[in-house]
Amino acid sequence: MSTPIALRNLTHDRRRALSAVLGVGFAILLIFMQLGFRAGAERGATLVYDQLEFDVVLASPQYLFVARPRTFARPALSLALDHPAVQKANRLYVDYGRWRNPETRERHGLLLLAVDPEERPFRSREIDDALQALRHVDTVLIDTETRPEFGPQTPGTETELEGRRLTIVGRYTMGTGFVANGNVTMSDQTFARLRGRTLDRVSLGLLTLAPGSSPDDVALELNRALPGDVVAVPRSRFEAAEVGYFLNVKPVGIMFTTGVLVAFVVGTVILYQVLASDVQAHLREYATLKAIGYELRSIYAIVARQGILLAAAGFVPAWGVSLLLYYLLRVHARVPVEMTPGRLSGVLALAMLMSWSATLLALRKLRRADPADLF
Amino acid sequence: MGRTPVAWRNMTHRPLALAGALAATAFAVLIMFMELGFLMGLFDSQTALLRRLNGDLVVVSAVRKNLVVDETFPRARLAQAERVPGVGTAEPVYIEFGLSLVTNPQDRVQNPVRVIAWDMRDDPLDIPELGEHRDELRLLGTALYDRASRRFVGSFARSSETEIGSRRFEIVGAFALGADYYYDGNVVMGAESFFATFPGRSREDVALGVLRLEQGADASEVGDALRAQLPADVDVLTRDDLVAREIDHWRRTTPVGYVFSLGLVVGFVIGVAICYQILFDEVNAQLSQFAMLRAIGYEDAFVSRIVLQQSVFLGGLGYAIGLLLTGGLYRGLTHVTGITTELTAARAVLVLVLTLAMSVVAGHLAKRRALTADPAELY
Repeated sequence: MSTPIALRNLTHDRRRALSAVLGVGFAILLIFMQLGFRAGAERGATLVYDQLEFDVVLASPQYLFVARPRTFARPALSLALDHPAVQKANRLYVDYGRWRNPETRERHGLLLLAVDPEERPFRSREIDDALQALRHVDTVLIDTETRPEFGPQTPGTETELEGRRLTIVGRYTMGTGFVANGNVTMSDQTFARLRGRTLDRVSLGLLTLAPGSSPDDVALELNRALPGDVVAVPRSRFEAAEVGYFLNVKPVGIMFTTGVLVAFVVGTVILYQVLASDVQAHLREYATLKAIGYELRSIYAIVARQGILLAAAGFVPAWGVSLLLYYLLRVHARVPVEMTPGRLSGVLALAMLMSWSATLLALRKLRRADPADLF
Repeated sequence: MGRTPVAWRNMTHRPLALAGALAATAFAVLIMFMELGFLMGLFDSQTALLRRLNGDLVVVSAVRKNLVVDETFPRARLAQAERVPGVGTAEPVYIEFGLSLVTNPQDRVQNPVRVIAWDMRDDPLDIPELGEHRDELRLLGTALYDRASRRFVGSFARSSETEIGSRRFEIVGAFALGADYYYDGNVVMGAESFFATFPGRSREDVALGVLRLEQGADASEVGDALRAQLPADVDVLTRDDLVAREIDHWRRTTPVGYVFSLGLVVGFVIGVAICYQILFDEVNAQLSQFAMLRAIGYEDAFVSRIVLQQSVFLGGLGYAIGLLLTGGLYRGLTHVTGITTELTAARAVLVLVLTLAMSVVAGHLAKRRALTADPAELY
């Protein structure tokens, strides 16, 4: 067996190797962390819509984002149903409300969703079935992702929402990301009593289309027929706009996007710097190899292998710590962030690319130099 | 002629390597500043209004545990508070958010902003720009616009017209408070305009009560007296305690507070570790020079001083470059997000201390190697 020169080179000065692995690892961790933050904001933006069944949505032209949808007049839904491709037109009411924690008596703001339980507007059968418990007025279902400050979530718990006494009659799991700290769903009848309003103004109309019809075409046709206080938007465009609002308009999204950009620049430079200075430090050894007759190509191979070893040694622990960070984010911040294969392989590719460019640049000296000069 | 600046020459004789090490150190510093800026920007912006309150003690509803939840208390509590010895004045502040849409005069889009109102004869908020507009603001339908609001809320020239709620308003001037993570902007108006615009609001329901004490009164004693004498539906806090409570709310119970706190901790560990790695590496790369110095008879103290000097030079210079980059980053963030991201002296010093500490530790470890190595072995 041939001597594993790359490995020996790395390990003969253990403290130095450890310090380089540390530098590489932390640069990679930084990139993973910032990417994770941003991905959480991105995925979190559409958590509510992910649970709802619709192909085209009706919304006010003044719609901002899920918690600030504004309203339009209800007859637009009947108009939409006149379109041959529209099979269902469900109503969704969205608002903020003040929820009293029955144990501490404190009040906290959360997101309210109200639907007609008969319409079964959710994608998941479990939630639609749970809605059936809302037939009695002044009952709510609570999202299990609601933060602990809102108090107990067990069915039967009595509390107050906007000063009105309510009973929790069930639970579902949805999550609201950066939108809100909690979420409850109620029947439209309860919502009307809570707000002291009729149900004539709707936040969103959820349209389901006949199989095979194109949401883009239907939305276009609907917009010709509908009054000016409402617009029809295909689901994909609606969700893309929601994500865009969180990432590009909300301060938190802009901070995360900035974080990702800075992390990439900084992480790349530091990866390069650590790897290049490692090659630099071993230049004498390579010069010796050159002097005793090794071909330049095989020296390159050794150094490249060494760079990959170093990048990999830093990558693995960074990956592990990132998984821990993502777990903490899911549990404590309730932000939906997972390590996707795309992110994993993208960051790995970046580390490898940096390792090779560091090798190539650092070895230019070796190619030109007389080995003896390097001493 | 002075002595040869060995540390300096050592560093600069390989300019490319030096540039690499400096860039990496500067970027490690930038990472620390960036994460610090995110978290402090959150805390600063969420408490900007509270820090402007012009009083020693503040009365809030007992169920109002943070500023963004809309809870009010009866105005009678302020009259009761004024009767407590030591209290000079008790002034109400009213806030509307749900219904306060402001029409952007440029694109006609209505955006929700926070409307802050009080009787213009009172002085509950420290708004320096208010002075000249106080009389104008007593007229119905006049308001001051926060020019540090998000840019999409619109730009309002003096005397420009807009709608707030569904009422026509004249913007008579501007002040600077700033957006936060909840509110995209602010408007200040007189109490008369406020109640005419938002008929659902009542003068009797107060958002914040600002108490100023009589000369010589002790805030904590008067606070205790107020808490003892006022009914349990209100809390009485010093302004600083209210600010601390607001920060605590954002740090502990909001996703963004958790994410930025985690970012700060991990960012500092990363920044400090990378600082150390780069500095140690750079000094380590020159171990043979140090060995040479020892071999030709220089004393250990001399060599170790040079190693340390060099490490601290690198750290300090890297920090200075990082600080410059941070200035640009903070200005950009403030401009784009409306969140005032400020580089205070305390924050600058915190990162400086961390960077220099890492320089010393890295230099110290490299120095030990320089002194323990057999000169011959290093060749």
